[in-house]
This record gives sequence, C-alpha cells and structure tokens, in this order.
Amino acid sequence: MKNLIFILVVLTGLNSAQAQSTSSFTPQQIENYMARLSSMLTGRPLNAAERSTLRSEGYVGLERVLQSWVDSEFFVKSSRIQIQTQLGVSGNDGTINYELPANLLDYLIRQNRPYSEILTADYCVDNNRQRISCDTGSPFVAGVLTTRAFLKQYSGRFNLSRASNTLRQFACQSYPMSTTLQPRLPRESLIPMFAADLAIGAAEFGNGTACYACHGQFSAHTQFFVKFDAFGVYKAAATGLQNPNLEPGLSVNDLFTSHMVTSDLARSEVSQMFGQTSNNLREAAQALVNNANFTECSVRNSVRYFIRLTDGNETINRGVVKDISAKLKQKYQDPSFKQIVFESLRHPMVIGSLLMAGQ
Amino acid sequence: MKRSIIYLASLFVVAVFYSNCSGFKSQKSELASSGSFLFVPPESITLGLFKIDRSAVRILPFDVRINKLNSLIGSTDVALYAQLNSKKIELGSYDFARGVSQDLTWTDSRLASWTQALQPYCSSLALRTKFPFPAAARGFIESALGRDLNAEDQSNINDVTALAVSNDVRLEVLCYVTLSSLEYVAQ
Repeated sequence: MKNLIFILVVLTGLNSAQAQSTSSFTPQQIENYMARLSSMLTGRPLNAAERSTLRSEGYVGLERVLQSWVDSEFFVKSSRIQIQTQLGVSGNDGTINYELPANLLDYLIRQNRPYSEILTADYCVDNNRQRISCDTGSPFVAGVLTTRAFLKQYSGRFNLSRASNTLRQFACQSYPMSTTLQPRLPRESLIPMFAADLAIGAAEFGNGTACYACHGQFSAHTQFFVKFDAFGVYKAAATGLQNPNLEPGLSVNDLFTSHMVTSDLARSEVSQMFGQTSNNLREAAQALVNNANFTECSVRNSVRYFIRLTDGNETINRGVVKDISAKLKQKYQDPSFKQIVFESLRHPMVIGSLLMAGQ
Repeated sequence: MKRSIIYLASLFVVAVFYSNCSGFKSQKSELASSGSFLFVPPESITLGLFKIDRSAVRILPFDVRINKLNSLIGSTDVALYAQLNSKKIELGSYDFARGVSQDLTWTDSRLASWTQALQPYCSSLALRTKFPFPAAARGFIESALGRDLNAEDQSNINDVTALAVSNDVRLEVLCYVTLSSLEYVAQ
C-alpha cells in the first residue's frame, strides 16, 4: 500500500515533502537502504553496531550513521573517485598532473570549504595537500577549470568540448539550453558558419544544421577558453582567429578558433555566463556557481555516484533535486560537499525510490 | 608446490560452488529475492526519481573493493594486496592519464582474475588470526557481507567444513567463495 501511495505521489507530482514521511520506513528498509550505500561512502559493509543502530532508531539512526560516514576518511577517497570518473581525469603523464582536480575536492572536503570553490578556488592543491599555484600560467584562477588536466582532457576545435563539459558537469546543461538561462549572442557577432540556421557549403561543421540554435550559446561559453592552448597553457597573445591552413576550429600556436567574427571580439576573454557579462573564465565560474543549476547539478551528480545509477543525470526527477537544493539553501549559505551528499542521501524520496527500485 | 596444489584445489571448489552449490547457483536471482536490491530481471525501470538499468551488473570501484578487504581484517600490509594492485586495470580500475577508463562490468575473466589475485589475502596469517576456522566462520561472512548469516551461508560453511583439508585451507576456500561473490564485489 505504501508503495502504491509512493508511485501515485510521484506520478501526480505532489510536493515531495508530503510524499513520504521519514516514519513510513521500516527499520529493515532503512537497513537495506544503508547497506546499499555503505561501501561507496565508507569502503566497507555495514558493521554490527550500525545495523543495531538502524534497527533500533530507524530514520534517526540513519541520519546519525550517514553523518559519521561523510565525516570518515574513506568518504574523501570515494569523493576523489567521483570527480575523477566524472571528469575523466586522473594520474600523471609526466607533463601534466591529472590529480589536481581530485586534490582540490579532497582539500575542500578536509577543510570544510564550500563546494562552489571547485570552480572558484584561486589556488590549486598538490599531491601533498598543499596549496600551490595552478599550472596553466593564466592571470586568473577558476578551480578545476584552470587546471591543465581539465583543459587538456577537453581540448578541441572551437573549444566546444571545454565549454560543453563545463556546462554538463557543473550545471547539468547541454546545448541548446533554455534561452532564458543563456541568451544567444547576436547572430551578426558570429562567424558565418555559426550564424547560419543551416549548414553553408564547405563550411559545414559538426551536425551541419541548426547551427545558430546551439552555437549562439556555445559562442558565449567557448570564448572564455580562447587563450588556452591545446595543452592547457595560457597564451595571452592568442587571437582566436582561424588558421587558414588548418581545418575549421584551429587557430595558430595550438590554439582554437573563436566563434566571433571580428578580431577584437575573437581575442577578447569578455563574454557571458548565463546572461551575465564576465570578464574572464574566473568571473564566468562565479556566475555559474551563483546559479541554482550548480547546486542542483551537484545534487544530481552525488546521487548518481553514491547510489551508482548507470544512466545519465536526466533520469533523476527534477522536483526532488529542487527540493533537496532548496533545503540546502535554507540551511547553508554555501554548502560543502559533505552537506550536499548528506542532504541528498537522507531525503525520503531518494530513500523511497531506491527501495522501490530494489523490489 | 603444496601451496599451488591447495590453491588450484580451492579454485576448483570455488568453481563447483558457482556451478552447483545452492547458495551460488544463481547469484542474480538470489540477490533479488534476498532483499539485496542491486540486481534483478534484465530490464530497466523508472520509478519517479531515477531510472536503474538492471540489465548490467556493475561492481564497486576497484579502490572501494580494496578498502573493503582492508577493513575486513584490519591490515594494510601491501604484500596482501600486491597481486590485486598489479592487476588493478584488469580488475576495472582507471588511469585517465594513460587513456584507461573505469570498467565496472563483472565478467568471467574478471571474476577469475579477482579470485586468483586474492590468494595472498585469503591464505594470510592476518585472516587466519582474525577469523580462525571454524570458530569464526560465521563472523567472517557476517563481517564481509555486512548482514546476518542466512541459511545459504550456513550451507556454504557446512560444505567447506566437509572438505578433507585442514582448517586453514577451509578458511581459504571460504574466503575465495565469499569475497568473489557478486554480493561482495557489487555491494
């Protein structure tokens, strides 16, 4: 009966706070749920003391045990795995330390810093957990976005991969996105192949059609990367202009071509993030974390990783993600990674959904 | 020589367990019916919050599995994990700097590699000290799986007890069987 009510609640879109009270779970259900999470959060199965706590205290016990888990040493290690596998960066190739993104998250968790600093920290962290300068040589720093690890992993023509992965990984957005969220740049400011609605002759690139629909937005975000070369090194003299001798999207000196049609615009790092003018990638990152999509995406990523969902973020119900994000906003000015994970995994609808999925 | 024979015999027993023993005959259906809600029929479902693809079994990340082994016996002696670490990519780990992505599918070859690499761990003094057989057989399974012993676990202990080998070898066999079970590597 409870299951039926749960399904009806989900289908009818009732407020998730009303959907399932914490008291509706049996101790056995609570134990089953926590058994599913324990290895990913603590690196071990439930122990006897935890099972006893969950059986005797139910949801209250869940909160207590979950808090101890996110405070554990292994939680940091598991969180490193999350960001490494999410971004596809780890290890060291002798030239670039691909551990820098995970090192930053590790540091933020241990120092109880806001998770938003994953994109706004003005420092990097070495393998000894010490603050260091980042490795791109850029005059500004924007957390993992200004690590050579991220920039090299996603280097590519027109900086499309860097922009799309920034938006996908940290705002859970893909192109084309709502124009309310990201207005398109004026058509006349773009090079002809991206200003067109349909592919034009030899200039065809990528999907070939509906160019402006996506690239009107891509153009805003790719511009922040115009001075980072294919190896993630900052080159202040970058022009953003197409190298006529190379394929579309490639500029000179291992740099990538801007979307912008004039040389002044093409070399400028001033652009827009979510409609807000930003002078460089750091300001763009700040605009991104100030947007509600950042926290919501952080919730989605955490739920997906710790519950080990195999499908993409789009399969996680938005209403519940918004509810968790609202609770985070009510309780914390700028939540830490621990707080995001804790609030997400203790949410009754998350618990109920996983229990339902297991039947 | 003796160690090799014991090890091969143990692998044989593991294989027999997987193919015949009631507790391991059909791990997927067993887990589905036992309340371990990771795996059930081969289809995906959507229940409101998220969609779970139940057609593909996914094991835990490599470092999570290693930490489970550490915590079970309370030893981080590198020798116990040397074979596992030397095969970490084969066992699903990743190294993106070298272009290797994480692969958490559970295949026959991965099961064989995992079981084989457990040999130093399952034959270790640390394991025998913490979980002497038969006195601590129940404690071993409950600690490894994080739940109470069930009838099938007891049946497995009985089967291992019936082997005409020493208690140390019985524990080693029980170790292979338990720590290479889907329940252990995936939850």
